[in-house]
Amino acid sequence: MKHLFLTSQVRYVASHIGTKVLEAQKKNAVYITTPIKDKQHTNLDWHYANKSALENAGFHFDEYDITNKIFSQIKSEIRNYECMYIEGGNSYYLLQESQKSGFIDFVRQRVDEGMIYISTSAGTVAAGPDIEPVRREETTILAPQLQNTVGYKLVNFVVMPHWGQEEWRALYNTYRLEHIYQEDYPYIFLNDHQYIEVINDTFQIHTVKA
Amino acid sequence: MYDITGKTEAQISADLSQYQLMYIEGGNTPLLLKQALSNNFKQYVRQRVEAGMIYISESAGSVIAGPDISSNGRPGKMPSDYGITDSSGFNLVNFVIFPHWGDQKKAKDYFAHKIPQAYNSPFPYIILNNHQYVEVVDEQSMIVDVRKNK
Repeated sequence: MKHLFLTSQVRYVASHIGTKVLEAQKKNAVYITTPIKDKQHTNLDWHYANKSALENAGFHFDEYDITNKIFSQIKSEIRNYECMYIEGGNSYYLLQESQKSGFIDFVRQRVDEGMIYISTSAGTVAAGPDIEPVRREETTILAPQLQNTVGYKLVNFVVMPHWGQEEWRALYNTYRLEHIYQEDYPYIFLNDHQYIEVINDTFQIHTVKA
Repeated sequence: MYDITGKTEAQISADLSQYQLMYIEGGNTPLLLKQALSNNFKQYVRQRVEAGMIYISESAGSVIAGPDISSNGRPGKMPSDYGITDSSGFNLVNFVIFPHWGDQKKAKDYFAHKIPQAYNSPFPYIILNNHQYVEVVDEQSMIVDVRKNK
């Protein structure tokens, strides 16, 4: 069974997600840190807050970065985890490293086998059909070896994260929405207090009251 | 074909109870809501959907299925322009549909009105172009793009 929890900012919804994941899965989880390894992310307070919220919700993680890993290494090192969390950060860098290492096929296979997939922002966008809708010059420049923008295709929609956040308003209003105003993918605008639970081919959007 | 304008609650119930499927056309969402509030059509639809009636809709009919219609408004087509103080929709789903995404004729409405109105909205938004639909079965949804056979 495919079971995903796609979030915009996991720290606000982790307590809910924690009630929907089996204890054994929560205790056997891997935390993919690659989206914050693009060497541009310096203030990581939000990342620590996400990690702490997940731990408070009962998750116990080993951290893992796929940067410069090869497929056989990834397979041998993280195939036994029953739950994976992919952090927010640079979706372009994440996808570049996913392409280089074969991580895309690995994730798709493990999700098909029943591994729980939880994500914030970049990890949520990567789960969709294409990451190009969230293109920003400052993030693409850090992924010069990216071959294309095709995502993991775990879902058929593109999540636009952090909807409603004041610090993202200018980006959405001046560039991002005009950029995606075309008849391509279905989009879901998700604020930081919402998450999408996907079970096989259907989903439900939940709002967690602050 | 059926128009709820000017109908009473009893009439609606008597006239429509035989149907197992309802289609609500696109058009003027606040006008539709105003009529739906005047004769309790809103509650009628909720009860019938709960009882298994299929609900199919386009644009205004999709917007009104959600939690609130106000962010889909534009000058002259806001709930307040129709004297509506409670802009809650039928609440059949917990998300708001933005229809006709990518249609150049609708771009001005989106960028001048709908997006600014939606940015601080508490609801999730599903953005659909004219080739996509959302199938809802109980609490579970799926977005289908008819061009991609997904």
